[in-house]
Amino acid sequence: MDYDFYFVVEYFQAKYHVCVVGEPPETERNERLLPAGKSPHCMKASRGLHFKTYLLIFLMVIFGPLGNVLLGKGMKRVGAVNFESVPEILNLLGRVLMSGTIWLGIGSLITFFAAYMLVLSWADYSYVQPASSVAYAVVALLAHLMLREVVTPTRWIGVILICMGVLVVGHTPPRTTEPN
Amino acid sequence: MRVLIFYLLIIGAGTAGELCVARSMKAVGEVKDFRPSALLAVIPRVLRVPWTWIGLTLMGTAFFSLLALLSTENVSFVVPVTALSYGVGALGGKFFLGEQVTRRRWAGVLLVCAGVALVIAGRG
Repeated sequence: MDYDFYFVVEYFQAKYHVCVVGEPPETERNERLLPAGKSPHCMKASRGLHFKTYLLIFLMVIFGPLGNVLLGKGMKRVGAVNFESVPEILNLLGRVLMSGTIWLGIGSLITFFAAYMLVLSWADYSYVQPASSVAYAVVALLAHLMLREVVTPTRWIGVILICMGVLVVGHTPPRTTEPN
Repeated sequence: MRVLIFYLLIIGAGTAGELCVARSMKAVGEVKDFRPSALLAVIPRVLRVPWTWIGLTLMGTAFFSLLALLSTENVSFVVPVTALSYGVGALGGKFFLGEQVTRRRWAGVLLVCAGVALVIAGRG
């Protein structure tokens, strides 16, 4: 079977920490995707993180939320998106592209994205994901501080629950059951 | 209804885009040299992998959906709601890929969903 399918499976395992019954036979593993010594099927979760991994995750946690907040700020100024006619959409797109705040937001998101791609070139998603759960709290905090958004206590509790949930999903060992 | 479609695009196209990009980065291999010149040299290699382009298109779709939502909704509302992707992912994994989702992971997904419910309820 082609490894495209296994790549999808592997990605879902890493991102959502779910486990697939059955495993590709040794011969079907692609060496580039699955380097020697690295089991595609649920890796051990306790390997030490490099300094560069920490640094890039830090950049992700700062620049991802900052980008979102800047986009929010820019879009509030641009105004509500309206899809009534083609000229209107073009006009809107023009206003979006003229906004300095939106470009700053795009810059932040590109920084986030670059850090994310770099970290994914060596680290498993299962390392990166629990750490990035903090981003949900950071985005609420920045929106409150920079945009004066009213974050009700109920919403804060909700955001904290989301962080905890992402942490629980990420911090469980990728496999707790035996494959058949 | 339109708002719902935007949320679905952010979650769906965003996740699919991540998948493609993760795949292209695995094809490029580990980036070990962090000097700016070396980082710049990685870019053409990344751009040569077709998965990068599919991924960027999908992520672009998710990006414009996000912009559309942010024009009317609060950032502290939209971004937490997109965390529902963890629930979608667990359900998708179970029902489309036949994966086993352990109880602890369901607990995590449930926490996320409860959190999103509170974020929606606390829309003040």
